[in-house]
Amino acid sequence: MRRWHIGRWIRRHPAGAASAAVLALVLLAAAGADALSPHDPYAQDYDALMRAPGGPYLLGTDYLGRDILSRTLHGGRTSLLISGVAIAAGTVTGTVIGLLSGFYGGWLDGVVQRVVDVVQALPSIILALALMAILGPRTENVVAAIAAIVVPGLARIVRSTVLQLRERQFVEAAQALGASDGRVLRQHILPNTLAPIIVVATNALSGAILIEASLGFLGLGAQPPTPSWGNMLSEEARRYFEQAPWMALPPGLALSLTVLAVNFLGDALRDTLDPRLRRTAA
Amino acid sequence: MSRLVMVVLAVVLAAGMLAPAAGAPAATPKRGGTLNATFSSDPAHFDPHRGTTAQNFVPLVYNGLVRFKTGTQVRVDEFVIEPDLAQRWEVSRDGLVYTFYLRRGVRFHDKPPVNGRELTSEDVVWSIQRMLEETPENIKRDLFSVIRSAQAVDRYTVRLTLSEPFAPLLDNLATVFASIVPKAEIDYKQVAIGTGPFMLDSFTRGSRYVYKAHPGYFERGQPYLDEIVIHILRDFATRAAALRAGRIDVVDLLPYGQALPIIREGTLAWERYQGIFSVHLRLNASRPPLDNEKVRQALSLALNRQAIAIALGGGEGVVNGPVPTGLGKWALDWRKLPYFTRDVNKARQMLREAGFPNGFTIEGVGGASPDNRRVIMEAIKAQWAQIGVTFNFRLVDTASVQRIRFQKDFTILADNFTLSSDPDSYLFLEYHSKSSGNVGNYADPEVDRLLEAQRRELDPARRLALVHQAQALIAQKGWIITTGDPIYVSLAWPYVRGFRHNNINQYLPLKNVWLDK
Amino acid sequence: MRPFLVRRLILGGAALLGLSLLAFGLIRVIPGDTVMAQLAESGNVSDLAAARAALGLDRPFAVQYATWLGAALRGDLGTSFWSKRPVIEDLLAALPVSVELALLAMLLAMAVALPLGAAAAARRGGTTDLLARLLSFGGLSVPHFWIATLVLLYGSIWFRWVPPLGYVSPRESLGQNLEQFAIPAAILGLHLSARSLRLVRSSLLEALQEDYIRTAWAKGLRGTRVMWGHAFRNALIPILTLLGGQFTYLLSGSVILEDIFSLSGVGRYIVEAVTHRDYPAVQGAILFTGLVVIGVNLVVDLAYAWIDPRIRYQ
Repeated sequence: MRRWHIGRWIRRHPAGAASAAVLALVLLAAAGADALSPHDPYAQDYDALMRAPGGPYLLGTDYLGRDILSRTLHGGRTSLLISGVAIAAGTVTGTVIGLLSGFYGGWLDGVVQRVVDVVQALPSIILALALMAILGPRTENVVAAIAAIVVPGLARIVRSTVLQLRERQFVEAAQALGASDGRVLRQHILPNTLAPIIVVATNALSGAILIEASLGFLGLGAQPPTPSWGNMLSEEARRYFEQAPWMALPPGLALSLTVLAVNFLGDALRDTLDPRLRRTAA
Repeated sequence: MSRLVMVVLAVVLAAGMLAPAAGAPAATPKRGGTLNATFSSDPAHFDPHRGTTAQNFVPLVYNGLVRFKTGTQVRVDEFVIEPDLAQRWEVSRDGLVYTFYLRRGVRFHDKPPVNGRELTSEDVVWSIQRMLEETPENIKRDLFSVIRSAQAVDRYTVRLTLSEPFAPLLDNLATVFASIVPKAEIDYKQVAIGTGPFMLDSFTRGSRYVYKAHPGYFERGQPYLDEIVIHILRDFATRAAALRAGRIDVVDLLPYGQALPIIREGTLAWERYQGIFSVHLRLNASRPPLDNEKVRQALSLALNRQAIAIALGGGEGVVNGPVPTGLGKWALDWRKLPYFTRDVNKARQMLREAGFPNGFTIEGVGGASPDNRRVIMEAIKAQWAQIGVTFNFRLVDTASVQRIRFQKDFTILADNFTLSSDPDSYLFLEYHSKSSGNVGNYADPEVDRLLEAQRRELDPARRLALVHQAQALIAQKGWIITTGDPIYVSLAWPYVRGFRHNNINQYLPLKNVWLDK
Repeated sequence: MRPFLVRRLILGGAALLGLSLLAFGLIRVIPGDTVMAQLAESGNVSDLAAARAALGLDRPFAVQYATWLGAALRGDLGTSFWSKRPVIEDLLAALPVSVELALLAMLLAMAVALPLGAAAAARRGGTTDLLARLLSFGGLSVPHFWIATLVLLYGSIWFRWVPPLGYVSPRESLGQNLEQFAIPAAILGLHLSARSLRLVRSSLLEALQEDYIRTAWAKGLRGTRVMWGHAFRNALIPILTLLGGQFTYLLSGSVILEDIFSLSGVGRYIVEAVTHRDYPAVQGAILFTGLVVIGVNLVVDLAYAWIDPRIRYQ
């Protein structure tokens, strides 16, 4: 991969840089949720049900008198953890499948491609619904459901990249020199597929955060009382939006800002890493 | 009517507060028009004797022998039995034989295979036999299982013989589960044929159910409306918005807190009342540590029920003992019930005495809908945490809840009661050791004795005393943790006249409704 | 061309077969079965086995699958356990809603994404580019159900308006039909246009780097001519791929919008079927959507050849 200078990158991609900064802040807030939260996110204050922002509750309280600020911070941790782990797992699985399928081709590739076809023809919400019903409603299973949704797409992209690389001279050269398959895959092919993987995974991440929210709407997301942006935005937040908009706005804005930042960063990364676009940048 | 007049009218009505929907008393009903109402999910079929999903779609299609009086002059928490298909009835002195004298000239809807023929005692006997059939789908059988035989004395007389005196009989016969259907083979998945004021005209699953006035209905002058459309609106936000936009004319069972912004606008007429759903948790008394009465009592004692009820209603709620407060005199004031008033220290001490000084972890499960299940589980989790009990719960879909209930495969289950105007269904069905509705393995000879005695007791005052006694004992046992209900609101556009909610047969009151526009 | 078609058809058939097996197995693995789902409350359970046998659920898995598949090949998707109506009829009733929603959303998305994407690519890094991306990412960053909630809430408060309830077919009343589809189609369309826009932009950027475009520039062709006549044609390929892939999502993944706007389409149909453990309905619906998706992808592949004459299928 070509080296690039941070300073120049920031000048060239101001939106990407700003997004990276925002994301860093969001990640810090989520990681430090325990330290930053003024209240226990699970503590219920029955004398302050749906209290407007102000006083001891900076951003107000929810329908059980829980502090919205603390829940938004912890909710961010849940949502980002779910999406992050799901994308990481999905990416690794998708990459391995794509690498093997693209590199070896033949019947393996045929089978894998057909399976990918099948899973992709299954609507993602239905897949998630079925998986959650089979595995049971646990927060860990939301991770599995989201990962299952992203694997096929990733596998397909990695495979097509590998297919192109396999014909390249440096790969053929390495093979001619007697390098083992594993070595060729690790040393020559994987590094060159990294750029598209990063780009696709970033895009998938923003999708995953939204899927977590949608699953929350359907009651299949992180299980209450664990706060997540998804379940904080569902049910009561929508029900009481007119009277208590503070229940929805903090998690909603946090979610949108995060997704926006991930998308901008993904775009900037794409421009930077995609070899076919590099020429334009030069 | 101009917007201004409507607003003024609404303000005047709201000032009356208790009966704003009643409107001006002496107005003559106008005929015609379509009323748009809404419900959240489809019925599986239109068979009143099988399951509960038809419950909200057929009260207007069928009649019973008797029914609950509806209309603006009836309070929501009073349940008055009045004649329906039976003009009058006689009860033998020993309370074992009921003789019903049917109205003459009552006609079924003009649809094949019945084609508008007259109702006779044969149809009633047929219906009662269906209500007593022992098929798994007949889940309301317990409401009628004391009926030993039904016979047609003549074309317009039916005699029911009971195996024992049964105080709740008439109330149970007034439910939609005792609807009278024609003696004919009918595909209840697709059609509904009754004698009621409205005929099911057409339906599109997931979308709308259209009812047309029954021209041959036996009550002179009724119904007033030409048509009722029940729209299936799954999302509550859509329901409230559709009401405000006038696509829906009336909505009921909206928790008070949610209705507040609409009430404040002053455009719509509204009414508040207590529900009788009684959101609760069933404890499985055969699983440790819940087999220990002290543990159950401690769990009950640790709860702040009032806070839960208020959270359910978004600001207003009512606490329920074993029999919900909405049943009026039958309910005992929860403050008088043992282990209902919160005492965290005592609860901790009782856990210590029971051998759990450090508390324990316990699993709970409940349906993901209605969503008030989630709210009570969230609240209870936080409250039990204070006595060292870790309550882990999960929310599952309806089919999973059925499986869990059948196999009694739970430690704690958030569930619902059979709605009834009579306390028996909240007591006998739930707690009698031989009842099929007893899913928590509850068994106590003294409770059984009281529950049997109250349903056999035909003297109202003596029965009331037995019902109260049973409730206190059941609260002592700590088997089912009842919390409460939201305060509910029904909202209607001011031109909707004559509407008053009924807790048992939700859409029955629509037969009194007319449109003033 | 013909061998390609035959191969694709065989592969599509194989995928469908796999899909049907997956659907068939998946729904049976979910705990709680259809008989349980139909018994709404407590009751006696002595006849559960009989009820299962009546539905044929007591037979071995392979027998059940073979029977169902045989019927499905003859166009018979079976009878729903829940509605007791032929699955194909229920599906065909739900289909117009989903197809109209999907097509309107796609049209809207293209109407926004093509011109904006082109403008953004033409002035890469400029203000138009940034604004276009902001718009598209904005559309991607708010969950559907929130836009829908806000439209309904404030539509009803400010304008006393919400879309008509329940599906009205265009033949019944085109006006009402459009009134009810406008908002959900716009929400889906905005989301889809956001995805398409960045693809249009990047594909055009890529295409503009190709040698033949440079040649066109060098020959002195005018900018718009190069953009629309040459670059665009090539950029269409990835966009078509995206649209093809999004069709599954649009067809049945829009269940949340269907719920909120009381349009009962294929998405809600499948969710209900899963909830009721209505095996024939789930299998039929998934097979059916699978058929549509595989068909759409085939059409997309064929469109490649038409767009880019260099692509010749062997």
